[in-house]
Amino acid sequence: MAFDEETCALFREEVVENLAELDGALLELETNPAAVEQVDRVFRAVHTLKGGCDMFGIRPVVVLAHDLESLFDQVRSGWRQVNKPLLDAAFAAKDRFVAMLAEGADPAAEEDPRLATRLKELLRTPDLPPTPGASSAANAPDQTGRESDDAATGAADVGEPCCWSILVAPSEPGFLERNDPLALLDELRTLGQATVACDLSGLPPLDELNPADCRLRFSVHLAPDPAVACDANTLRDVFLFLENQHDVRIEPAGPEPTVLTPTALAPPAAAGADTAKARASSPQPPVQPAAPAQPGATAPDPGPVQAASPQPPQPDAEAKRPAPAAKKEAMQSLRVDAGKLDDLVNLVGELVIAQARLTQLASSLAQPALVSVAEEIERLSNELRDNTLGIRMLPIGTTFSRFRRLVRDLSSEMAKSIELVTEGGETELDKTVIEQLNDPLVHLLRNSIDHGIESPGERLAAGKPEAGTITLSAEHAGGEVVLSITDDGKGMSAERIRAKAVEKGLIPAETRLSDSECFNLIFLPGFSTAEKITSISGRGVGMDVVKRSMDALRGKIDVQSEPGKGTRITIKLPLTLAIIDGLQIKAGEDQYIIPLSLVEECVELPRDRAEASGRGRTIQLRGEIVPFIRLREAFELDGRPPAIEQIVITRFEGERAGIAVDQVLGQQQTVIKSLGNYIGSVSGISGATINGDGTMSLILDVPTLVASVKRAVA
Amino acid sequence: MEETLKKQDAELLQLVTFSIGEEEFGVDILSVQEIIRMMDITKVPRAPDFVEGVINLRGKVIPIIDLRRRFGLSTRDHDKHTRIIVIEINNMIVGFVVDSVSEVLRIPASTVEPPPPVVSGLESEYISGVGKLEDRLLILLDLNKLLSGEERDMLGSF
Repeated sequence: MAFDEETCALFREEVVENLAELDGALLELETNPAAVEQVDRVFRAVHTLKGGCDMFGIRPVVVLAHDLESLFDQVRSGWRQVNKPLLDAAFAAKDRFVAMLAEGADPAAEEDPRLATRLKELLRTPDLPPTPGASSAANAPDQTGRESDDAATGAADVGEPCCWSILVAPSEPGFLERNDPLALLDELRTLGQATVACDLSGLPPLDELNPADCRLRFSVHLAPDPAVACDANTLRDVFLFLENQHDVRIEPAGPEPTVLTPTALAPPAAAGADTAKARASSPQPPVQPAAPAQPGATAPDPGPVQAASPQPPQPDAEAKRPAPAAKKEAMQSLRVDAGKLDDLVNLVGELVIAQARLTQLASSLAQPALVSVAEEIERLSNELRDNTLGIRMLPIGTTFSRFRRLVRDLSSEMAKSIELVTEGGETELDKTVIEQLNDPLVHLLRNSIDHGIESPGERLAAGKPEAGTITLSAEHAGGEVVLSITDDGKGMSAERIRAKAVEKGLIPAETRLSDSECFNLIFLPGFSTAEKITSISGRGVGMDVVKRSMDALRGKIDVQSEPGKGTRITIKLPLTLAIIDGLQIKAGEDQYIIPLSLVEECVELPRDRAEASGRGRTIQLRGEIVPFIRLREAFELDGRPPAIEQIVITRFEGERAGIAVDQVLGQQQTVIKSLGNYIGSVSGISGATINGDGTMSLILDVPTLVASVKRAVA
Repeated sequence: MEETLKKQDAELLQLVTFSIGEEEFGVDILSVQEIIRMMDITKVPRAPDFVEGVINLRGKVIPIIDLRRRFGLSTRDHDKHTRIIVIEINNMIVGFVVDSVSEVLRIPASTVEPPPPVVSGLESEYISGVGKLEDRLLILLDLNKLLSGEERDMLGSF
């Protein structure tokens, strides 16, 4: 079957999502084997993957996924415990999926017969004897979290009914999507003696029949095999994927295969308390006892549509009443091509510039009506900007979960025991930032694992817990996101780093450096303190690459370390790359922008300080001494400064510094544009922006500007 | 017939010619995005000497290179003939300030000779050839090299 490109792209996205979901769930299971909801997650991910691949005819994946699914089905049924062999096999299978589904890969060529045998072997040897009740026992640790199941389990405990009646009614046209009813029936048959009947009553007359709609219902009478654990839960699990969208009713029944008919469906008194219980345990609200012959009467009921009408129903009426909750949720999120979002952000950027021009015009014309319109437009465009940028924000947690796998694999490769703790995964960052953050973070984590955390023996000898901990955290701080990677490993010695840098000729031997400056030497190209090169790190490329990618993201990276205690690497990133609030200033002929997030206040430069030079260039600010630089001098601008100069006080990484300018013009939204590849990076300038009147302002890179002047003075 | 036309086309170079000082230069017309009059240039402090600054070209920030300085010639004030040739190459858009733009010229590729070692003080590595016209010489610039090479490295270290 041929699929169009869009379908293929969707499929690929779905595959990526499912594999990530599978990975996440497996990792959760590894830390907490009793987490039943994680088993469900695994199951769901594998199942969806299988379904999708089946549709695309990728047999090898389907075969493997099927076995994996069966394994986790055993877990769910309580026949198998979540243990290392199982998880290892599952991880291996996940890696196989990745290899098979890689773009351009031949799935058949990527098959691993040994893994297949391993799964089959596992499947043949369940850990626990399949006793009835095992299933409820397996659910026990989770009972508080799953009240709905409690009801079902409770119902089962009261007295196992000898037989079950199951009715499946597709509640909307379009049938069961990827769920093959035959497979479900087969699964039921493994549980016992199943009698299946088809209910044709929903069929419209032939001339109204839409072949794509399914109006058939089927009912099953199941007499469970005494050897198989079978309660309402087990049965519900079979229909796990149908339950949300379709009406699935599972009720205890007598030994006679009296199949549920649609008329028997609406809760009649005959079904009794058990029925009510079973209904309450399903996600749908119980239906009001409506007369079975009055399908119209249930119309105002927002609840699920009962497969109610014994007469051929009006197809429209039924089509318009899908199972509500699941459907609504599906519509609440929308997949959008990232390129369209980028276009939108660009448009908003231009709108912001045009709006700035309007505001400027309005204030110069001083027409009250115009001013009020301009203010209204300003408010709207601000909101539009925030919303648009908000759309591109993604929680960083998705990236974090990928790292857990990395840490797991690397630590076992290095025979170290390492726990990765992640905090603040819900912190949101611009999509592009997150994408570009991945590689540097991988590098830093690898470094922590390789150089930071000691081997278990060393750790015990040093009086530390055997397992090392790496904490990956993210949080918002002002207009920035602060990421940190902290390990409790052996740390770094500032002295040793210094010595190494001198030895490698990276710094002159007589340079004096503070400890924190020493640590930052590791970001120099060609620096590596590892005694031996491993597959992971030690080649001396790496940290400088990390540093460069942080620069590209306008982020700052800082290292703190204490020998024996551990290392902490802090990364500060701007929330977004596109638009910032800026303070517009003037020096000489030109206008410049200082990022408002760095600005603390603006003060006048006292006349007596204006002539000071070199180290004497400081001002007293409420008792505190703040150094300042003069933009005119830093940029070697022509002309004379005005009689009264202003100082913009900035704070960066806890240090204050003033920048003396001719004039402070005001606040302005700034759309950041790069100076272009050709000019590349110029020290002290991070980009340019276009003002409302079409002129341009350069955006100051305050930290490097201040640092460069300080260096020149020292 | 079509064959011969194609052949002729392949052998014809279409060039935009401009002058700096006494010399006339040519660049491939396909790399020229547009030619604009002189406009306000925002200076970029601390940028290399030959970077005149940046301009706002319909919402895009474009760096402007003074070709006189780039070639190490003496600078002179802009006048009404001064033009900016906006060139796109390797996904970079750069404007070059030139004294004046002359014309669009078609010359047969056969009249282009390899560059002599030194042409009016500018190193021959930026020259892809010298076109011999009836009454004058035309220096063909290799824009790729002009936009790469040492200066790029030097800029990178800033």
